[in-house]
Amino acid sequence: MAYLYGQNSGVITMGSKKYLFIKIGMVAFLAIYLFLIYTSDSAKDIPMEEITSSMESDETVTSLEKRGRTDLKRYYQLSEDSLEGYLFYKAVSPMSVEELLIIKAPDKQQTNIACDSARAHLDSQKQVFQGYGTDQMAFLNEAVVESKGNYVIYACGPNAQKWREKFLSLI
Amino acid sequence: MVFSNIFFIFGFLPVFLLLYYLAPYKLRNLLLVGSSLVFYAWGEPVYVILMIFSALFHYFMGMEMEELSRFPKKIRGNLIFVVVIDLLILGFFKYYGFFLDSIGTVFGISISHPELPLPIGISFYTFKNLSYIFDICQKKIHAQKKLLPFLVYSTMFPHMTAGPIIRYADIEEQLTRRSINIIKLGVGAEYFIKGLAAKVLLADNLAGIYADLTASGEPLSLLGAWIAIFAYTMQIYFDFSGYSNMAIGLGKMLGFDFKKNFDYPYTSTSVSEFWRRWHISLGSWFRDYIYIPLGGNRVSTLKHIRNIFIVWALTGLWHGASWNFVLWGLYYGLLLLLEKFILNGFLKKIPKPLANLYTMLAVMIGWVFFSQTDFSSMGKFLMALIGIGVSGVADTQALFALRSSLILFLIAIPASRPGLYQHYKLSMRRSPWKAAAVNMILLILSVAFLVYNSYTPFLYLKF
Repeated sequence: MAYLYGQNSGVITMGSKKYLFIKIGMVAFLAIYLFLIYTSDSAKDIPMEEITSSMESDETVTSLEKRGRTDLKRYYQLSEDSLEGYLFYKAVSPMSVEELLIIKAPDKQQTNIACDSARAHLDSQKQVFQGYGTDQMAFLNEAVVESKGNYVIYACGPNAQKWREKFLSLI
Repeated sequence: MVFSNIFFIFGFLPVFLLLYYLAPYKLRNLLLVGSSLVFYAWGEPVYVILMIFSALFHYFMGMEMEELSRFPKKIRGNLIFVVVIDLLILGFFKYYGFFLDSIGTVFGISISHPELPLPIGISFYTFKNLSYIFDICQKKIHAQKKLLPFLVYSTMFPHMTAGPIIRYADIEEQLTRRSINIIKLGVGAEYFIKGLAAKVLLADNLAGIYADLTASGEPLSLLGAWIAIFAYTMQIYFDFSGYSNMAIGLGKMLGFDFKKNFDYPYTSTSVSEFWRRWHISLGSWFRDYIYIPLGGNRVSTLKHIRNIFIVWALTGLWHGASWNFVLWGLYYGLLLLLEKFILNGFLKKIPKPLANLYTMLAVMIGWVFFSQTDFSSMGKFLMALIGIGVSGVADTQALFALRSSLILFLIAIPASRPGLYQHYKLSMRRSPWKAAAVNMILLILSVAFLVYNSYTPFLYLKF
């Protein structure tokens, strides 16, 4: 009866050893997995209001026009209701590609969807300006689309990298 | 991936169903597990590993506990181990930020902590897997010896992300022996379309009304507050019951029979009845694995009251790592105690429509706790419902919302009650073609709305 748990209480049998090894292996795997998740994909939980206030202290952001739910839907096909919060600034002129969008999503799936939407928006902008908008294409080629934790940033324009660094320093 | 997604409806689902129906019987489970992992990994490539881990962990622990069935002490030790690991995972992804913030608030300090994205459906699949282990401990079921059928139970895509929380005993036989046929496919498709229409045509449009009224943060009028909370009340019902119907429909298409998760809760004549009809699988989970083990109502009155509050605080906390959910749970605990000890006789005596009105008022106030995550806005909203701090009895925004949403409300109210569906079922028996036409129209309309509107996820996915 070596496979079954000991007929004699306290005796370590093959069965108990097998499960002991499985348990140790699984706990070790879980610990490594959680550690990797924690170190690679986490961001500080900063309220969107705090990020907005900090980003808006930069005049290069506020020189653009603040946009709301209608434009979020129009340019990114995202519903404001599905997000925890967002900051959206876009140049007034349709000939400018200067734009900053920061999103805080409620979960990983929404973060991925927001990130995909930002990439799709970038692709669509490239199609629009391909062939004639040399300056715009240069900015679009250097545009930032990035996600960290539940946050997503899309930044395009001469200040894109500066905005990115400031945003990352906040979270 | 979610069910109300064009790619799922016209890409993933038809291809999967075709392969599933053509595949030899023995390969169907393998195909179902593989497709479920693809379904989950589509939006959660990193977190699919966590889901697989959870499935394997509970599979092995179930096997061990079955073998330990004659050693209660060792079973208890293993049960504690399983619960600790599950709580650790849930705590890591869902609750630790909440607890750190709460500690910070109590001691007046700010504790900085990183935020992790919440894996979709983590609460649902953890509770489902835990119920399997609890049932083995209570000798209600035997552990599944074969890995593949257990993986089907644990990872099956129809109920993986937002329930219902299926019990192993309910589908044990179907995991290895189930039939698929054209009738089940048809019934399943009908459930799916009904759920899709509830989500896309009703819930998403009702969500717009609630958002339009509350987005500005400006004080609402009395009328505006009631329209907003009524819209939210209807939205959350059609959103979640819609998802459950889609899951049940998908299950039927694959040869499974899942129990219903909603039974027209808005027809209830008491809050206790409401909770027997709303999210049935979660309510029965807490009853069987927390309330009854604590002693249920077969203890002293004081302990009974304690049990009710523990269960409802945990029910609230299950919904989200925020104090408003705990408050929402405790609110229901209080109402249930009031009904049990004071209102029970009274509610049975008064006319049913009045009892239903009382229940609906209680439930709508409950949704204020649920929808408003900070106490300040919650307080303002509750005050607005009794006319305190409002911009007036009715402002232009509220009147516009009422005019533009009246038809939607007039559709939503009967759709949340059984009469309309019973009428539809009767006509379907008389004329199946009419029923097919109705379903086709609902599907076309739903798809049109999906194409036109932006993405709005299911509310319960975040739990």
